[in-house]
Amino acid sequence: MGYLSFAIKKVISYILALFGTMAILFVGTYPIYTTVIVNSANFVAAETLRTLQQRSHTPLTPEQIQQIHDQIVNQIIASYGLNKPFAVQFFYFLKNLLTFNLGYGYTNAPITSNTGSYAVADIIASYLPNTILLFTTGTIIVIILGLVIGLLAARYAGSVWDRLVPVVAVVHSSFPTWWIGFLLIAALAYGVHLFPPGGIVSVPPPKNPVLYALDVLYHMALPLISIIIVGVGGFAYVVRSLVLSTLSEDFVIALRARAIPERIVLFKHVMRASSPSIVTQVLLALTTSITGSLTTEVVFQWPGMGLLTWEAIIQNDVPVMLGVLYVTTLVLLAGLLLGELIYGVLDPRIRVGED
Amino acid sequence: MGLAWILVLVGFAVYAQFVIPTSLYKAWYNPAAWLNYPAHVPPYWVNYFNGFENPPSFSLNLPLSLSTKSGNLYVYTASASFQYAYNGFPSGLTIQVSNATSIVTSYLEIIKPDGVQVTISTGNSFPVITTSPPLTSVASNLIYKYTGTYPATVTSQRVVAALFGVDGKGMFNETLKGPYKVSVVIYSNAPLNGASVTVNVQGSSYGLMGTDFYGRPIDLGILMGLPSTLLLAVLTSVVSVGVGVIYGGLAGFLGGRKDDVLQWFMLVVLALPALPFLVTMEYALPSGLSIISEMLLIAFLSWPAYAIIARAAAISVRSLTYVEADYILGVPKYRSFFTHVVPRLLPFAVAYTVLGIPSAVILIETLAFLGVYPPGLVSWGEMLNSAEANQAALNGWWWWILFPGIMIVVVSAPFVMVGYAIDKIVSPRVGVK
Repeated sequence: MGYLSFAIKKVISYILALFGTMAILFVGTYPIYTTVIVNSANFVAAETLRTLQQRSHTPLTPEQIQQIHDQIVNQIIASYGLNKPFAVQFFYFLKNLLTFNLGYGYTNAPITSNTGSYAVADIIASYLPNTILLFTTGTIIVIILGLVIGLLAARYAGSVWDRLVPVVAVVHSSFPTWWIGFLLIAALAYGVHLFPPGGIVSVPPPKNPVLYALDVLYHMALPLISIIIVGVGGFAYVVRSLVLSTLSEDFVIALRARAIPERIVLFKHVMRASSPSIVTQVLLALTTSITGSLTTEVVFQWPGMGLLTWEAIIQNDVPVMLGVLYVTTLVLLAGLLLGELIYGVLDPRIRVGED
Repeated sequence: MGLAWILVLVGFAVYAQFVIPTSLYKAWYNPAAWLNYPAHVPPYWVNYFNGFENPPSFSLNLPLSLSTKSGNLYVYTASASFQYAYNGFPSGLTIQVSNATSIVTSYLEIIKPDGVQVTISTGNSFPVITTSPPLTSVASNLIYKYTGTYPATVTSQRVVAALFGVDGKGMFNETLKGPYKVSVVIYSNAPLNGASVTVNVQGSSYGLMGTDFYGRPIDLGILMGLPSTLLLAVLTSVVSVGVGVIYGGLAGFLGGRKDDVLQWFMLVVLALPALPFLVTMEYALPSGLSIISEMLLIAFLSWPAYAIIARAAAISVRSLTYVEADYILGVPKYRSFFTHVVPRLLPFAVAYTVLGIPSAVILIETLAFLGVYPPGLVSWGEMLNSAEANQAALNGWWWWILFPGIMIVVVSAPFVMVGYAIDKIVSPRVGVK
C-alpha cells in the first residue's frame, strides 16, 4: 500500500470521526442550542414589532401582534431547520458549523472581535492566533528541552541526573500549569516586578513593530516559563524510556559490537528508530496544548481561546461558548490527523500492517 | 512509602467527612459566618521569621454576672484582663453575645496599660466588629483625647491601632505592651441565663495556613475539600479505566471490521476538547452538576486513552496459542474474552487506575477553578478561583495561593509513586507496544 492510499484512508476515517464527534456535540448541546436560537428569534421579533408599532398610524390589535410575532419567529426557526425532523436538523447544524456560520454572541456581553464584530466566527478568528502563538512556542521549547534532557538521561542511565528525571517528572506533572502561573505572577510580577502580571501587550501598545514584537515576547515570558516547568519533566521521562527501550534492541548491540562511538549510536541510530513514537508524543502534546491548558490563559489574561471560554462563561454568552467548543474540536481533529499522516511518513511499517 | 502516604490522606479525608460538622460545610459560602476570624492574615509560623510581628488571634470569654436588677431591667457585668506583648498590631476586634435578643443596650470598657480608659457604647446589635460605627467613633474620640484633633477617616486598622498602640502624636506605630482590662456592661429586659460574652481580638496571623479574604481558614478549607476530591478522583479513574480496558480489550480481541467500528468511536471521543466540552455540558445539564454527573462526564472523556493501551495489549493476547486453541475448540468468543483477555489486562488496569487518579485530580481542580463544581462542595480549585477574583497575587496573600495548589501535588504524588511501582512490576519493559 503506497503512502497516498494510506493518507486517503486516514482522511476518510477522520471525516467519519468528524461526523461522530459532531453528532455527540449536537445531541449534547441540543437543549441550549435550541434555546439560544429561540431566544434570539423572540428578540428579533420583539424588536421588529416595536419598530412596526412606532411607524403604524393605527395601533396594532393583539391578534395582529401575535400573528406578526409568530411569523418572524417561525421564519428564523425554519432558517436553522429547527422545524424539521431531528435527523435533518443535524445536517443543518453540520452545514452551519463547517461554513463557520456560528451565529452571533449576545450584544449585551462585552465580547467582540478586535474589529468590534459580534459574529462568533470573527471573535474566534481574533482569539485563536494568540493561543497558537503562546502554546506552540511553549510546546516547541518543551520538546527541545525534553529531548535533550531525555537523551542525556538515557545516555548516562543510572547516574544521579538520570534518577532525578522521574522524580522531577512526577512532581512537575502533578502541578496544574495555571497554578504555577499564579505563583509566578505573585512572586515575579508583583513581588519583584520583573515581568508584567498579564495581558499580551503593554497599554498603550508600542507603535514600532520591532518594539511591539519585543513587548509581546516580554509578556509571553511568564506563561512560557510555567508551561515549560510543567511540561519538560514528563516529556523528558517519556523520551528517556522510549530511548532506553530502543537501546536494549539487538541492532544496538550489533552497532556497539562494531565499536561505533556511543554518541553516533545514540544520536543517529537510536534517535531514528525511536523517532516515530517520539513524534506521536510531540503531536499529541501539541494538539492537546491548544485545548488542554486553557486555564493558564485565564490566569495570565492572555487573550486566547481559554480567556474567551472564561469570558463566555462569566458573561453567560452561550453562542460564543458553543462556537469555542465546535472550533476547538475541529482543531483537535485536524491535529490528530496531521499526527497520523506524519507518523506514516516516519514509520513505513504502519502503512502496510493492520496493527 | 507511597501507600502510607495514601493511608494518611484517607485518614484525613475520613476525619474531614465525619468529624467536621456539616454545618461548617454549609457555612463555607456564607461570609457572615466568618466575621470572627481575621481576614487575609498569614499563617502563625511567619512569626518565627519576622520576630513576632504577627500576633495570633485569641478570644476572651467573659462570664456574665448579675449585678443589679430593677423591675424588668437586668444589669449584667463581665470583665477579664489579658497581657498583650506582641510587636505587631492585631487586625481587628469583634464582640459577640450568644443570646442577644433581649438586650436593650450595652457598653464595653477597655483600660489600656497606660491608664487611658475607653468606653464604647456597643448598643444592642451584635456582633460588633471593628468597622462598625460604635468602634470607629470611639477610635476618633481616643485619637482626639491623645492629640486634640479628630482624624478625617477611621479605617479598621486605625481603630485597632488606637486601641492597642502607643500614642505618637496621633500616629500609633508601636504597640502598647502590658495588661489590658476589658469589661462589658449589659442592660437586658429579660434574664440572660447561660449567655456568654466573647471578645475576639483578631490577630494578624492564623493557624497553620492563614485565612482568606473572608476570614475563612485555609487549613480548614483544604481539609474540607479533601474527601470530595479523593472520592471524585477515585471514582472517575475507576470508571474510565474500567470502561476503557473492557472496550479496548474487546476492540483488540475481536479485530477486523468490529475493531474498525469500535476504534472509530474511540477517535470520536478522543477528539472532544476536554475543558470546553465539560464546561458547556455542565451548562447544558438540566438538573445542574452533581458528584455523579461530574464523574460520568470526566470519565466519558478520559476512557479512550486507556482503551488504546488495552487494545494494543489485547492484540498480543489474541495471537497466543491457547486463545487460538479455544477458538478451534469452538469456545464462544465472549468466554475466551473473559477467561483469557480480561485476566491478562487486569494488572494494567490496576496500574492505570492508580496513575489516573492524579490527572483526574488536576482536571477536577481545573474545572473548579473555572467555576464548574457541584454546588455546595468545598474545593481547592474554588479557593484558588476566589483568590484570583480577590487579587491575592496583587495583594501578596501568598498563603492563599500556595497551600490549596500544593494540596493538588500532595494528593497526586503518592498515587503516581504507587502507580509507577505497580507499572514496573506488571510491565517490565516500558514503552513496548
